[in-house]
Amino acid sequence: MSRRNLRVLQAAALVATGALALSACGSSGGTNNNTKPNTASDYSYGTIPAASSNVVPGGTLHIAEDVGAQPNWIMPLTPAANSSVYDQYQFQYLSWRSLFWSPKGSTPDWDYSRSMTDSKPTVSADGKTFTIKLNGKYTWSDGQKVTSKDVLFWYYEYKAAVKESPANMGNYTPGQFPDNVTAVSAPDDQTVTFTFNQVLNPDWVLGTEFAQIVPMPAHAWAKSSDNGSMLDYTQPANAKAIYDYLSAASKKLDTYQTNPLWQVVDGPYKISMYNTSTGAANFVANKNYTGEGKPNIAEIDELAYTSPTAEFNDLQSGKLDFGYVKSDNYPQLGKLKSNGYVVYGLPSFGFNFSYFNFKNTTGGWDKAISQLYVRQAFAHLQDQDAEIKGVFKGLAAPAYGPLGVVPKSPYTPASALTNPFPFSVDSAKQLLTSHGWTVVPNGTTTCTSPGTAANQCGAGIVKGQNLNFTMFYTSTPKSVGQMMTAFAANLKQIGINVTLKTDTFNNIVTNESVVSTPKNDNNWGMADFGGFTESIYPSTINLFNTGGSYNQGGFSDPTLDKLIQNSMTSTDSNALKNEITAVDADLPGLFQPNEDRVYAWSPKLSGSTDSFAAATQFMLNPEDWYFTK
Amino acid sequence: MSETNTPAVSTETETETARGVDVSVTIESPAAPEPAAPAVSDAGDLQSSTAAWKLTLSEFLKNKMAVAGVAILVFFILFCWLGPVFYHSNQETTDLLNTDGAPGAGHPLGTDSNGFDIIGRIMIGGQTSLWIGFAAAVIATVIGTLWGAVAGLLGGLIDATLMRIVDILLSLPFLLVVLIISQRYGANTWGLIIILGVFSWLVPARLIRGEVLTLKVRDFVSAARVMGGTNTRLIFRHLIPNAMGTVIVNITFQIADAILALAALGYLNFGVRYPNTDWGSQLGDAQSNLSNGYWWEVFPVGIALVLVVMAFNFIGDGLRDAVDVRLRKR
Repeated sequence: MSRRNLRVLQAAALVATGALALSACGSSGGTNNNTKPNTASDYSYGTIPAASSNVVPGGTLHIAEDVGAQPNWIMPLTPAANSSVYDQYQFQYLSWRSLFWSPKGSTPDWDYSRSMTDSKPTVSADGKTFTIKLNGKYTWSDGQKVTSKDVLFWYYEYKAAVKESPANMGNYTPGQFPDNVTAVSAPDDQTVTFTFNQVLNPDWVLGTEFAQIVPMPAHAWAKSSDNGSMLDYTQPANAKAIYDYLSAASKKLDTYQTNPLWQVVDGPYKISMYNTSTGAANFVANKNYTGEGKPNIAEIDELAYTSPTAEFNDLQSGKLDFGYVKSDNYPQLGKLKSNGYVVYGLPSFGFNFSYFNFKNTTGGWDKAISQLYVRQAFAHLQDQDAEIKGVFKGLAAPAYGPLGVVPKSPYTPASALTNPFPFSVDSAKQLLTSHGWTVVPNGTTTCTSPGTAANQCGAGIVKGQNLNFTMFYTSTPKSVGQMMTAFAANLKQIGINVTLKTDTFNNIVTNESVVSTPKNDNNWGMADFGGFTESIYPSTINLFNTGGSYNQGGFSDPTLDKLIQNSMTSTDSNALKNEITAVDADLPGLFQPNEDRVYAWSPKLSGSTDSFAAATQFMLNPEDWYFTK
Repeated sequence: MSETNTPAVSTETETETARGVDVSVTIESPAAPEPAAPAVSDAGDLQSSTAAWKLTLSEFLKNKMAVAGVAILVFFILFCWLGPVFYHSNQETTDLLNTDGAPGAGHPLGTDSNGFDIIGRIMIGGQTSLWIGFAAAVIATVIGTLWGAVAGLLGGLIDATLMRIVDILLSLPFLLVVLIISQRYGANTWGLIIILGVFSWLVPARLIRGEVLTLKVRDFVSAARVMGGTNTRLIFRHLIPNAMGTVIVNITFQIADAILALAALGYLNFGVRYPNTDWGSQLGDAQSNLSNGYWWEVFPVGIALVLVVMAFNFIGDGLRDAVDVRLRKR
C-alpha cells in the first residue's frame, strides 16, 4: 500500500497489528493479563529517550519485516496487488523518497524537512493549476540532481501504467489522478506545474494526489531494455515501453540485488541482497545521500519471519536491533524492558476493519448485506470495549469509523467519538426481527417475510434465505483471530453461522477483493486483512467510493459518492467531516479498535525521537539512527 | 498350529475337493470358512477360530502396556464424550473479558485466549481429534488394503504400476500436500477426515501388498483359484481376511498418526475453526503461550494428546504381539 498519504493498506500490520497492542503491563505469565496497561491519554505506551550524542558510525542494523507481508515490488509505481505499507514505506522508501513526506514524527502532518519541497503547492487564481517548487535538497546516487523532469517521468509512467491496467497502481481511481490532469510542465529544473480539469480542494490534491509522487531517475530508467537508449517518456508509446520494461524488472525478484536500475536511488539506502524464498532484504548506505539525515549505519538487514513469536524471540535474544511486538507477546514486554530495550507504542493514523463483500451473490448475500439494518445488526455484535480489554490488553483506542478517537485530526467529526452501535445482541436481534427475519439463536436465522415494506426483509431477499457466510481473515497476528472468533460467536447467538478461514495478509489483499480478483466474488462474505493508513486529508476516496481502487468489498452508495466528491472539490471545511460522518453511518465495513503499534529497540540504537515515533505510523527513517558506544 | 512367515491371525488346515481332485491345502483364514469338509491336519492340530480369538485376547491381556493403553483410551473417550454431560462450560460464546485466565475458581484449568474454559475445550477438542483420527484411519486403511491386495495379487505390470504410484506419492511431502489441500478446500471436520484419509493409505498399501505376496502362494489360495475363484473373491474371502491381523494392527497406528497429523495442521493454523476445535488448534499458540507463561493453555491439552497417541501405540504393539504367533512368547 502505498501512498503515503493516501491510504495505504496497512497491512496486516495495522490490522492485525492491532494485535500488537499488547501490553504492557503484563506480567509475565501465570496471571490474567486483562489489567489496564499504563497507556497515556493519547493511548501511547512507553517513552522515547532523547537522542544520544555518542555516535558510533557504521554497523549493521537488524530489523524485522512483518509476518506474511514481505516486500515483493521494488519499483515505486506499485500495483494494487503488491501495495502495502510494508512494501512501500519500509522497503521502497529506503531508496526512493516521496516528494511530500508525512507524517511528521507520529503527527499526521507534512514533514518538509524530509520532503523535496519546502511548502505546499501554490494554486493559481482559477484554482486549477498547482505549482510545486523543489528545494534541490536531493541528489541521485550517481551524482545527478533530482529535478522536475524526474517528477514528470514518474507522472508519465503512472499514466502509462494505469492505461495498461488500472490494477497497475494501487491508488488509482478512474477519473482522478492522472486522468484529471489536463496539462503538466516543468518550467525549470526545480518547478513542476499540474493543471487539473476542475477546481479542487488544495488539501485534497496534496493529501490524495501529490502525496503519491515519488520522483524516479529519468536519466537512468527512461529506456525499454537493459542496453537501450534513453527514450522520450512524454510520448505515450515510449512511456508504455518504459513501464513494461521497469515493471518486468520489478517482477524479477531474483535480480533485485544485481539489476543496476535499482542502484540509482535518492534515498539513504540501496538494496544489496534479496532472498526470493523469504523476502528478506539487505540494504547498504547510499554514500551520496543528500537528503535529511545521514545514513550512519552502514547496512540494514530486513529479516523475514513466519510468526510474531519467532520475531519476538529474536528481539529478546538481541538478534534484532529494532522490531515490533504484537499482542501475541504482550505479556513479555517486561522482559524486553529488563533487557534494556526501549519499548514504545502508539495507535497509527489509520483504521482497521473487516469489510463486507457486496458482490457475492451466493445465497443472496449481496442483497442481504446491502440492507443497512443488516449491517447495523452486525455492528451491534462487535464488542469493541471487550476487544480492547481482552484482546489488546488495553493498548488500543476505540474507532467507530475511518477516523478513530486517536490520533486526533482536525477533520474528526464529533459523532466519531461515541459508538453509534454499542455491543448489544438484543439490539441486533431486534433489528432483524423487525425486518421480517425469524431469529433462531444458535440455529439458522431466515427471512420469513420477504418484501420491500419497512417491516420486511428488503429488496431481492427471498423467503427462507439465511445470513450465513464465509469470512477470511489474516492468520497473524493472533488478535485478528480472537476478534473474528468473538464476532462469529456473537453472530451465532442470533442464528448467523460463519465459516472462518485464514490466509496470509498478502493473499487476502489480493484474493478477497472485488477489485483485484473478481472471480472470487462468490467465495467470501467478509474479509479482514487489517486496515489502511490515512492521508493527512483523510478522505475515504478510493476506499469507499464506487469503483475505488481500494474498495475491496465493492461498496457503493450514491450519497456517499457525492459527499466524497464534495471533499475533493469543495473548500468547505465541513465537507470532509460530513463525508466521515456518512461513512460512520453507512458501515461499508465494521471498524475495529485502533491498536498501538508497539516497537522495541536496542539500548545501543539511538536517534531523533521523531524518527522512532514515525515507526508507529509504519515509517522507517534509519538515516536518523545510529549505534552508540 | 503351524507357524507361518507372516503375522497370520490363525491357522487351520482342511482338505478341499476341487474339480474332482483331492487337494490337501493349508488354510489360514478363520474369517474365510470354506464349505465344510473333514478337517485333516497336515501341519498340526486343528484349532477352532474361537480358540484363536481367545488366544489372541489372552495374549493381548498379558501385555500390561497394551492394557494400560486401552484404559487410557477408554478414559479419554469417556472424558470427551461423557465429560460435557457432567462438566458444563460454555464453548460457544467467547468471553473476551476473561481471556488467558489462570486456573482458579470456576475454571480449574483456566481459560484460553478467547475466554473458553480449558477443560471444556479439551473435551470437545478431543471429540474432534479422536473422531477425525479414527475416521481418517479407516479410510486410509480401506484404500490401502484394497490397493495393496490388488497389487499383490495381480502382480506384473499392474503391481509395478500401482506401487510406483505409491512410491511417487510417498515421495511427496505429506504435510505440504495436506496443507495445500486443506487451505484450498477449507478445514472442517469432514474435509480433514477425507484429506488425512486419502493421503495416509500409502503405508498400509505397502504392508498389505507384502502380506498378500506371501499369502497368494499358499495352497489355500491356489486351491481357491483352481476352484474358479475370481480375483475379487480371492481378495475379499481369502487374502484380506488372512491379512486382517496386519490390518488391525496397522489401523491403530494409523489413528495415532492421523491424530498427530491433525495436531500438526492445527498447530500450523490449518485445523478446524470455531465453533469446532481440535487439540492441535488448541496447541496452535503454544509457542507464545508458553513464553507468556500461560502453561494452562499448553500442558493439559498437550498431555492429553501425548497420552492418547501413546495409548494407540501401546494398543497397536499389543495387538501385533498378540496376533503374530512369532511374537507371542516374548
